[in-house]
Amino acid sequence: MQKIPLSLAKVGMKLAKPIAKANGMPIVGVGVELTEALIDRLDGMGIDKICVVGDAVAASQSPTERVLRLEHLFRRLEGDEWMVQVKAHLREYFTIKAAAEAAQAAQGQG
Amino acid sequence: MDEDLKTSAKGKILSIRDLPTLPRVLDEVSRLVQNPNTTIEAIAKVISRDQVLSAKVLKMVNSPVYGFPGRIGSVQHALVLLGFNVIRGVIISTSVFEIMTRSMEGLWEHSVGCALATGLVARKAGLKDPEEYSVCGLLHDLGKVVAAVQLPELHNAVAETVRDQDLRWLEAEKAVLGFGHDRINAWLADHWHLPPTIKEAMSSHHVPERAQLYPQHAAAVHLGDFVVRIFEYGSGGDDQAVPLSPQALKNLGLKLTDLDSVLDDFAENLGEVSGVTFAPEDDDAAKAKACN
Repeated sequence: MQKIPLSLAKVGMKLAKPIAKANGMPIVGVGVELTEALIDRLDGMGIDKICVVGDAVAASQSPTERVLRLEHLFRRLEGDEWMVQVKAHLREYFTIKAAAEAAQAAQGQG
Repeated sequence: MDEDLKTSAKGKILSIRDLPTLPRVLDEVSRLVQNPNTTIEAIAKVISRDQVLSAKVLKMVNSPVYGFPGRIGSVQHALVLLGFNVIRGVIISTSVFEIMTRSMEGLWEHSVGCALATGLVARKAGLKDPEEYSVCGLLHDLGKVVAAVQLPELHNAVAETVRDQDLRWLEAEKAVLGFGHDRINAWLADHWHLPPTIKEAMSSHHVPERAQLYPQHAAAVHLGDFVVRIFEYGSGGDDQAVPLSPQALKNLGLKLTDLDSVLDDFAENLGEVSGVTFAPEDDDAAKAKACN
């Protein structure tokens, strides 16, 4: 379990603790998976910290997640030839890392 | 915002009224350093008088950010290994920790991550005293904190502009304030008498090709900032990659592929670095309890 600021919450993370308002009124229960709409709603309610299952923030920095996030991070740099080259290099780097991690995980299970 | 408002915003930013205060020992130590006959023992003695501060300094210098994990046992040892400029930067960062975590969610993590990445870039480029580059990374976004403290309404307007117009934080600052945290950094560096290397790194990390005196410091922080943003560790206020300056790579004698080993080392050390915080012990205990 990890307590994280709401700003680092990502779609798909699961709640490890229920979220309640300051007066104790429950908002969301344990095990609920975060969605874009739920994160927005929590933000609107002034909730700034949540407890999520696992080492979720570290997982969000995994190579697989990095490959998925590159398009989003580079969304305003598409017209820049050099930055397109930089993005392609990073995609290759993280793809190789993700494959290596997957191979290692498969070996651990076998 | 019209010109009058821009001028008034700048005036408020530059007023020292609500600036984060630095520990008094820092003034005393800065005076001691002016005297060439001052010994490291004497400086260490003054810093060590403040036990809380000493503990914070040792926690930071023993983190993977500086590459001596768990091996520095005293302030004197830290001064010998890292030098006064680095220790001064560490003292400043620990002093603004609380205000930074309060004013901008994720900025402390972004700063520590940038310090780690900047140090790794400096090592990769074979630069002397990589710890001095790390401290530049640690302090590179202090201007954002000062803007948040001095001008909370405009700070909120910057955050809204980032969201509504999908801008990077620096672009939104320029749209709202007329100038960015890089300019505030330059002024802060003067106000706190930081060495010119740190000043140039803080003020030119977004345009390292414009750095006049210490282009390698500015370039290393520029790359460090790029790396920490790619990993999205913490937040500098927006969720975008920054344009990578080819000149910054050139100034450090690096190629794009040289970044691969920096990314490897960054990923390896990130977990440990994430524990580098300076919340009082009772706060930590309360947080742990809240999470149970």
